[in-house]
Amino acid sequence: MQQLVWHSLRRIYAIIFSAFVLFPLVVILILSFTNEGYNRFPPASYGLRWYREALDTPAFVDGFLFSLQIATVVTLISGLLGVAAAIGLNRATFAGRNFIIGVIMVPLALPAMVMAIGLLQIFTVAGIVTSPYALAICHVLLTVPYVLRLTLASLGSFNRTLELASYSLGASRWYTFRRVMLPLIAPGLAGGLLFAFLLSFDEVTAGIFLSVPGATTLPAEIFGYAAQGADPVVTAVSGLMVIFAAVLVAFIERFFGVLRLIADEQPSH
Amino acid sequence: MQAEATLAAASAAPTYSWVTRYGHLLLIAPLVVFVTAFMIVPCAIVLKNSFLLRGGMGGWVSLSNYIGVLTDPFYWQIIVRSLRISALATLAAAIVSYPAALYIYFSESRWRRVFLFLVVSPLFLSAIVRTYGWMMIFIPSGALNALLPESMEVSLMRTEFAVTVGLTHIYCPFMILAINASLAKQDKRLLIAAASLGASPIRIFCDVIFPLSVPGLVAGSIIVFAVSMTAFGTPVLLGGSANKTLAFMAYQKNLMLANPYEGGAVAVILVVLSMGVVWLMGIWSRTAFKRLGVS
Repeated sequence: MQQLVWHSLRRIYAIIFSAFVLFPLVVILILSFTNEGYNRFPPASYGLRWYREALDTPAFVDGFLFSLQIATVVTLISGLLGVAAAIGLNRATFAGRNFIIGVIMVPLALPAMVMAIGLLQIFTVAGIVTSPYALAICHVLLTVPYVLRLTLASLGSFNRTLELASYSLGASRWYTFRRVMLPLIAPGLAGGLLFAFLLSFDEVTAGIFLSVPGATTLPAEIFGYAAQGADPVVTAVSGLMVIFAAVLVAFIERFFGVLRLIADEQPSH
Repeated sequence: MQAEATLAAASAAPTYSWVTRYGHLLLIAPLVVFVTAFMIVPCAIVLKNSFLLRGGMGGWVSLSNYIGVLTDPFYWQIIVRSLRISALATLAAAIVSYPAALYIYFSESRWRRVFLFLVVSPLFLSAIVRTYGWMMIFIPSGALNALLPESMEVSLMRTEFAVTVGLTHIYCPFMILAINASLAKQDKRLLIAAASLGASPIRIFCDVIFPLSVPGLVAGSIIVFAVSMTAFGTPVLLGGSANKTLAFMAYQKNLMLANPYEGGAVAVILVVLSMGVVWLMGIWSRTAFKRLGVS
């Protein structure tokens, strides 16, 4: 009896908590389909009016494309720098190894805002526009720790003799990297790159601090509009972001496993 | 033996010797240069600026920016508000996340994975959109007032309460993952052992489960507190200019007022405060772990 009570209490809490987690997202989705001229919950009539308006607003379309570009470039640079450093650090035994890893991991603890302010001051003094350059740099700093950590983790479980065997059979370093190492570290690397892309695409603070008119990320654009007050067109853009994220999650779940990526949980059952 | 000798000979082959010895440094160098140039130098400049006076007084190291901020009652109000919002968001995240993590640990139904999936998937949505969702809940014509009877309608937009709820919602997945990580390491047979020795469920919770989950609670609290202190978009949208936080002031001074001197000081104070609290939590938790007998 007691067991049953605990069991149902636990289940009820899980349902309430799920409702709490999903509440704002559901509200956005419902409101985004309003046909009225303002945000009122629940909408008096439904339609796609504000979705059309959102897709006709250059600021949002350009912001989306700009965010995609930034995230792609950031993933590429983060991947190159991170993987090279991971391979070098994996084998290194010199004294400063852990210090270097520690320094690269600093952005995990240092607020993005402080790095953004620092880059802003340097770029202002140098007279270079902060977006896209400083913005991409800041995102690389924020994402490279994940690439490095996940690649180092998969290199750690990688058997060195496989590499040596490849050399002893006459393979070059580059060939060995491409045909032996890369396939073995691919899962960790793919996780790191996926993480880097999503982090950069969704990042808010550096986006707000370093964006300039004409080169603004979508989250910074949403912030700018939302700071002016609630506007149904922002609700529609947010609705599009929710739908986009849902599709992305489904895609990741299908090919990678959401829980494996975030919760480090192996798919079971 | 033969194979090992060949491998050793291959890795020590003279054609590779230079690359073998220094190659790894060449691989590490680009990232080290990048981080030095774009993180260490900018942060050093923020620190340097925070000690300079505005307008041509450069070169004279001065504490006046810090003194100006720390003697201003307006700033103290903001500092206390930032600490209060972050502490409450951390506490709220711990309270709502703890039972959820327990559910994840105990449940053996197929809903467990569905629940875990639901809890983590909002992390794939930009924090600004989740914040906007709370705006749509708290505005006068929003979802909250639609659910409440007319006589009980509230106006929670631009309040500290709204900021705290938003931060709790956005960062509680980190808390759940942290608590879950520390519980998942524990062998469930411990609970069976405790039960077979006659411990009541409440006793098992207090003496076994809770102490084992404390490291996760501490880790989660450190993360949620640090990110809440430095969050920018959420406090601005939900709190407005009537509820400025330190992060808001750093933005205002650096970007809107283009004052990197006082702005630098605000940024440094923000980092020192959030790291300081995290450091104190670390020290406190080590003594607490010792008392609880966990590590």
